[in-house]
Amino acid sequence: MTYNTIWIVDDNDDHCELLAETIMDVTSQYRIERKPDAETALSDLNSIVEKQNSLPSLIFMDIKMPRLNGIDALNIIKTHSLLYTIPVIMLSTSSDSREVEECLTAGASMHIAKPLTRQHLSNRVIPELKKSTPNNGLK
Amino acid sequence: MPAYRYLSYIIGGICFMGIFYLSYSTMHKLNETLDGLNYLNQKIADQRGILNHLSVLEEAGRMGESTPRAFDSPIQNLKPLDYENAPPILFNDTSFRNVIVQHSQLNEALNLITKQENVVSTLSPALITSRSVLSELINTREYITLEMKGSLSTFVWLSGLILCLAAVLVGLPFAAQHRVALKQSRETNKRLQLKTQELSATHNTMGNMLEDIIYQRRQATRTEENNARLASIINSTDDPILSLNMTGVIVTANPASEKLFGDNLIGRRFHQLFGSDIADQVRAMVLTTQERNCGSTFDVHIHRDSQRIDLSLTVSPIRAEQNALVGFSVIAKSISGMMQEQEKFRLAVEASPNPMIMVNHHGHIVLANSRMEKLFGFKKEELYGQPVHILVPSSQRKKHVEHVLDYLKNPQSRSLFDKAFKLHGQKKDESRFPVEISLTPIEMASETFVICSIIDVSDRLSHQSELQTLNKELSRKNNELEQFIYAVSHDLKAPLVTISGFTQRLIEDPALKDCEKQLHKLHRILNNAHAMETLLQDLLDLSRVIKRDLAKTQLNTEIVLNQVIESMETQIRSTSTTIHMMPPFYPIYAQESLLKQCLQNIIGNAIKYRKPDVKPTIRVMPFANPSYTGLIIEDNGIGIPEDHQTRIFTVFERLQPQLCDGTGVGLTIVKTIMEKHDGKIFVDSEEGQGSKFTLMFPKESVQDSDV
Repeated sequence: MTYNTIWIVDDNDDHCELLAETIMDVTSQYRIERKPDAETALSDLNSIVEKQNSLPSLIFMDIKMPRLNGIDALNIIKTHSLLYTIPVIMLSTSSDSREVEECLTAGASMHIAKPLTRQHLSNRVIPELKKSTPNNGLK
Repeated sequence: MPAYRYLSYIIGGICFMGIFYLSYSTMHKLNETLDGLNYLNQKIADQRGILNHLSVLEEAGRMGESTPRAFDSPIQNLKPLDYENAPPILFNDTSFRNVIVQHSQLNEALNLITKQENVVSTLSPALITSRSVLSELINTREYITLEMKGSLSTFVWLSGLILCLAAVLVGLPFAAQHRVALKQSRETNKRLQLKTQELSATHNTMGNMLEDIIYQRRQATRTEENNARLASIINSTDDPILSLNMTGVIVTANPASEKLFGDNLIGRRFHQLFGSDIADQVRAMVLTTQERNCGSTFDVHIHRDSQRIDLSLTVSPIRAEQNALVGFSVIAKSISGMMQEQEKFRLAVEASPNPMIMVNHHGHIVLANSRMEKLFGFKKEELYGQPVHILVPSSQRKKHVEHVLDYLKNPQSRSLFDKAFKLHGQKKDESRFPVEISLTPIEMASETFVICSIIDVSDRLSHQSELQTLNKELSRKNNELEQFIYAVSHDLKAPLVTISGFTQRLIEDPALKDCEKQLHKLHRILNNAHAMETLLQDLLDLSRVIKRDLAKTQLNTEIVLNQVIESMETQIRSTSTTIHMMPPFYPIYAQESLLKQCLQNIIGNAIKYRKPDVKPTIRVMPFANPSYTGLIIEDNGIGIPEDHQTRIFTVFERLQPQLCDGTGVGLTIVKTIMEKHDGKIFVDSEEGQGSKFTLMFPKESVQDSDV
């Protein structure tokens, strides 16, 4: 059986674990992959494109990361000719309206203030994911 | 000339001889002709006699007389004609020759008649021959006459021709001579004309010279008058005036100078008139005048009858023609009166707290004060008479001279401190320093001077640059601080997210469902984490307010208020708070999100700090004055003691922490927002009597609305 993949890009391990567990609580249809920072995530995406493997169904992207921050990574993905189709959900400890606006303008599917609760995940995120999965499923 | 004359004499002589000869030969021929003519006439008469005789004889013959009686005597008359003695000219003619031939025949006839033989028969041929001789003789006479006429006409014609020729020949040399003479006379004429022109030019020149001489004489008279007048001016003026030769020896001196300096001035050296302390200066001054070839003035004093007399010496070069320097004039003006004025002026300049110099219209320094000496290190005496640019670094001098000339053309008060040009002064030791210069033109004794006040601005400049550096440093620090607050807030939040997240998961964990003690502790952890989160959120908000620029708009206050109250619905309902809105509200010129944040904080505080036993009531009223619009928010809460009212806006300041879960940042945010808007916030409160907050936002100004 082949899983659709969800990527969690966050330098904070605890947050990764918490998010992963929260997702597992809600659904078990997805394989969850962790990326410790935005650079790793981008290089992995590039190698997937090269090998023509499956792209992730969804990316959770933390904003405040060392070196390359989440918004810059988002911009790179959304301006890439193949990668731009992947839905990206931005995560941040803040809920600053400017930051939110910036993320949505750059092409993020949504912006969520941490921690992501189970309710929020099942009510808002999963529907979004299901909506976009058929287009982003197996290649 | 003589040749022509002799030639004409000769020709004339020849012509006269020709005419003489001609007339002589003509006369000769005429004589001959006349002889011939006379001869012929005689012969013709003879012939007629013969003819008559013959005719008579013939008549008698016919009558039958055989010997005519008439013959007796008249026959003797029938002598044969002889032609031996005929003039030679007649032999030229053929008819005469015929006459001679016929004559011989006639002679024979006559002979016959004479012999009286056959008189009658021979009579008729003799008659015929006689007649023919007669006619031939007449012919010859005609010929001779013709010949004579011809000779005469030939003579007239030839003599006329000869006369004409003679005239022409005699005239030719004269004509030639005339021609030559004419030519010569023409040339002479031309020469004469030239001479005439030369003469008239000379005449003009002489006229002009005469005029010049007259003019010069007049000028001389005038110059003499002028000189006399000048001399009398110089002699009668009260100011001593002297002239010096090139070595500084007095050549002339007017009475006033003798009065001042004593008698017998002429021949003495000028500088020796002064005391030894001044003599050198005076001599230097004369030398300077010579070097620069322009006049200079400076002040000296002499002692006379133990009284000090101040003099202003003006030494000017005296120039002869071609500008050559031949000596100096000295005008020594007594300025004891003027000196007092100048002394006052000098003292005023001296007393000035700033270094000052006074510059004349040539750009030369005429006055300097002690502060100037101190600043530049030059002695006053070293500055006097020097061009002002000796105070300027040599690299800027050229430009400075142009500036000075420009300024002197149109002097007006101005201050020069050009950041771009950077004026510098140069001290005697050639060190440089930045200066600020203010220029003030003044009119003194109809001359323009410029007073320059010079300020050393190196301290000021270094302070300014220090200040700029500090300012930069400060803004950098500020920036860093904001970055720090932002980063810290974010990073501090991250562990809280972890803590509250895992705690939440533990609380929801079915395994802990019955462990009440543990659950209680987990809830305490969760609450604290939330409190911490709120605090951090507030701090984050504060840093954002500080950091961000404003985006002000005209806001409909009522709508904003309603939105704020709506956002606080839960809080308001749970505490049964009553809010009274008292319109009409005025529009507020502010950033919407920040105004909302303010109102949320103040209304939130009003609810938080309510009296425990009284239902909270909040009244929202409009505020307006000519420059501000705003809101007044009044509550019936616990109030703020007067001595704490200034502290409430300080960050983390909470008056009664035990009462509620505030972070102590709220009012700080409000105050920061108000400051950002150039607005004001007032609190009016009494402990136990509720609080009244007044928020004032400046109205939109014209400049703002233009942007």
